[in-house]
Amino acid sequence: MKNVLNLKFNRLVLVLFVVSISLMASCSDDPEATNEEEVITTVVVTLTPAEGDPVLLTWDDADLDAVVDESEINVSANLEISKTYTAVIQLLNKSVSPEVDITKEVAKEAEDHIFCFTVTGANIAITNRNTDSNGLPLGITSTWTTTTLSSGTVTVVLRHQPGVKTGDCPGAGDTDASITFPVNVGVPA
Amino acid sequence: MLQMRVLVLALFSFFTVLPLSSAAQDCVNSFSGIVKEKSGDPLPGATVVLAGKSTVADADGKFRFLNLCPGTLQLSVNYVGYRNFEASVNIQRDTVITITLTDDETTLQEVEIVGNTEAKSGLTNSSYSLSKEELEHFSGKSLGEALKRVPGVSALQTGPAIFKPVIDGLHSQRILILNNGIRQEGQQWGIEHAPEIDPFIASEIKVVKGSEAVRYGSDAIGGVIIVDTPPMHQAQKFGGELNAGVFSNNRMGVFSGLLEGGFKNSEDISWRLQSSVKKGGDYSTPDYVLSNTGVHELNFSGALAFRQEARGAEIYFSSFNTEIGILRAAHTGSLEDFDNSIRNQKPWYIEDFTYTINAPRQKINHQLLKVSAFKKITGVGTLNILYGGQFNQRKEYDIRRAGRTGKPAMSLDLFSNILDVSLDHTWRGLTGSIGINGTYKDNSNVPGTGIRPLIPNYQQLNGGLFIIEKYRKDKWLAEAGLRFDHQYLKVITFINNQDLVKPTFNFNYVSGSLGVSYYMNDFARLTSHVGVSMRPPHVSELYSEGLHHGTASIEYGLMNQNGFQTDQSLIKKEISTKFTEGFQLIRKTFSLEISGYLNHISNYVFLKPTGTALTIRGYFPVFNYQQTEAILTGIDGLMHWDISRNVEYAGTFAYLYARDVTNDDVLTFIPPAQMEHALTWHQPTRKKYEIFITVSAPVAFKQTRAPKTVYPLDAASYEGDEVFDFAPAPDGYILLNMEAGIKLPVRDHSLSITLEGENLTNASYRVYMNRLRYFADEPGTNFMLRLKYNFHSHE
Repeated sequence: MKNVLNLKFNRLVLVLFVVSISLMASCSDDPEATNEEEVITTVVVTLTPAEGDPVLLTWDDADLDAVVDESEINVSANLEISKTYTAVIQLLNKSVSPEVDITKEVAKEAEDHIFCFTVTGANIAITNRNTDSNGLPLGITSTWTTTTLSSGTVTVVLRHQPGVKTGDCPGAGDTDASITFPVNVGVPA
Repeated sequence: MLQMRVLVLALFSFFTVLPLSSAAQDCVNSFSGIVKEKSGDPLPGATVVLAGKSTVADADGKFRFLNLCPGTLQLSVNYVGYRNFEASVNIQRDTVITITLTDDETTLQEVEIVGNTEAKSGLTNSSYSLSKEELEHFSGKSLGEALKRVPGVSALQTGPAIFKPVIDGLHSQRILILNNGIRQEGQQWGIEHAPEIDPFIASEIKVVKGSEAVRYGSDAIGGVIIVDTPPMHQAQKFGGELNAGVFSNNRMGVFSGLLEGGFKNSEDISWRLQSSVKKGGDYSTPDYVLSNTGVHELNFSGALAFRQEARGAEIYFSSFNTEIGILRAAHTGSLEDFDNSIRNQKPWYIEDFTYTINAPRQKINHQLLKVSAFKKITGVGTLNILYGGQFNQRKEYDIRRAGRTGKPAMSLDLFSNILDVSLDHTWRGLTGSIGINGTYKDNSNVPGTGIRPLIPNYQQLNGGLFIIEKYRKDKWLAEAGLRFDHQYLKVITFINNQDLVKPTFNFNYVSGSLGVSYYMNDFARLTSHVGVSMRPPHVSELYSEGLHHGTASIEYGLMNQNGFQTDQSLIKKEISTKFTEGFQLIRKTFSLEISGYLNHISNYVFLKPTGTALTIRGYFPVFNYQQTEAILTGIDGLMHWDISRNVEYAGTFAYLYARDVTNDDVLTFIPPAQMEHALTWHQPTRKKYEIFITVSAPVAFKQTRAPKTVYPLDAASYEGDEVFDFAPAPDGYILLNMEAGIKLPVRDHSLSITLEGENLTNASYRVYMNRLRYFADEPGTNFMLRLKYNFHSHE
């Protein structure tokens, strides 16, 4: 009995060393860079009038640093006085290849999302946001109506409100995107 | 008729004589003795516990209990490094005994190199133990919450279920936790990462508050928490323990069971199996439900030990699995949301109670395998070998779009291996230990999260060499230690998320400590300890990068300063020099322990606000890890007073002052001054059953040295240099807790039932050290009913 135990004991010590050495020798392969799946790199608001050229409000994170630099914001033209535009928002993730249309993800979860607009300075009324299946506003499309000559900003905010959406802005939940565009109604003096 | 009168008389006398007889029974006996070592030398400092009352052997190893009632009482004597002595003593008159403690080396406990033998080094340091009995008051709670009981220990909280221990103001990678002798390797770098340990496995938890870096290496720069399991030699007879508890506030149920025994064929082998399960739902404050604060847990462990006089071995396995919800309202997508949450004073998301845990949540699995062995070598000492393998998986889930909520936002696998070899020896009055240890850690981000990892992959190799010696003469006890370490660190990360780089670091560092203990007389002791220790920055401090949703801030590591990779040579080791002075007084009915410390840390790593960044989610403050010179100084104490035979008072207090010397600023996450008073009435120990009632009042003061307040919306334009907090420090508070319990013998076994109520006044309050204080109050009244059935078959 004693011999058996003795043998077992020595063997145990041996096993202990072998196990630890083999474990220490384990190595891992090089990791691959992570593709940010959810990040929004591009926001495009396309304002299409009944007649004439559309106006594009764009933010494109060219350096993919997730920081909003002023140089990355572009407004293609001034809005015209007393005109009605149909607005369509498009969100993209260009950090992955092929690029992902985030708007589709938002549309799929329409009941959990809402676009909120804040207009300061400029005479623009934003109405007629499209709705989700519960009849609450979603805002991927909307109607922008300009009145008189003015300048200011429009802030577009995407709120993520799983389970807590009431249609109010900003309401509960988290901000997924928030971007401010400078806008002019008419040609500023 | 006569019979009737006899019966009435008998009944009458039964009811009157019973209390009379106990009152008449003279509780005048004394029980005294001397605690000795095997060699015959007295053992000053040994703790002697008789029927729940404890004292400490004086400089001559003597102890004495007075005013004892006749009866059989439980006696236990313990001293770090020695085998516990336990016996029942029948006291009918004044009794004197001699107790000889045998060296731990003859028991298997010895094998747990870091667990018990190593604790010998804490003799002159300031330390505090939570006994099995004390731990029972916390059964069902997390480790960090139980440890708050220790003066000078507080907890950094993330909601009501995540508690991270803070010792004298230091936490995370500055504190080491020894889990059954093995250094716990988890993801301790995160502020919301609680220790991955089930407190039900513990038979004792000891906190050493000074630096124990000599014994354990750089992680122990701020102190060590030693979680010990019951020694395996106690598991020779079949027995076990069942615990059950229900908690009213979060409707939590807790159950734990333990079985142990030996084998018929061999007296040398014993086994133990243990498991615990916990399920709790949302907590509630007095006014609202804390939605998504549930916790689910399933843990189990097993041990098999072989032990003989001169050698032994043990295999231990444990598995810790938990899922914890983080308050839904604490997830902030932008500074606007954060600001609203703080100013509203109430969470924006409140739903009905549920056991369901949704995102944001954490899922943690921790597996531990320990193999250890010891062998006595004649004329040399005892050789101990220990291997520990740990696999820690941490997954954090966030609220995400397009079904990604079910996909972890962070998924880390940490695989670690530890090998310790030490030799305990006694040589010409010196006793001590020399040893080497090595650790290998491999941390990898599991691909597929779709989010850039907050900390990179890394591999870390550590090697250490130490010697600790102690010397005892007359009224003096001295100990000294020295350690040398080398750390090799290889980080595998991406620059701009494109270019793979593998920077390597090599750190050499030394630690030293010197401590003296002086027994002034039979009942007072002075200790003095100085420890110098070094710690290279942790990977998270070097390479953190990204947005923290919990804190709504962007963090950069030391290696990234102002957006550029900095030079490795600018990274410095933290150097802590801590002086601890302690005074201990133990009289018959009064005991007092006070310790004061001064900790100077150069190159202290901390997060400093450095600016703001405008992201697609709005503005966020940017914090950068930096190094500075810090001072942490404070005083802790505890007092125990037997006011009468039935009533005792216990009090603790702690105060800490912390300062960033270089920047002339405060430090973040420093606990405010705290104290606790408790009055206990207990029934004299002569009865077969024990009853007690405790009323306690924890008091916390307001942190007057909190960082300046910068509300989230102002953080974007903050240009100051000082550290800041998003909300002011909450006011102080006083709570009222009560606990009543009874312990009954059930044949050989025992059953104890306790009922506890916490926050009985249902006060609304917030805790400075809880990071979720920005969003919500602390839980309201919580009633806890606990049952414990012990069916150990003692001889």
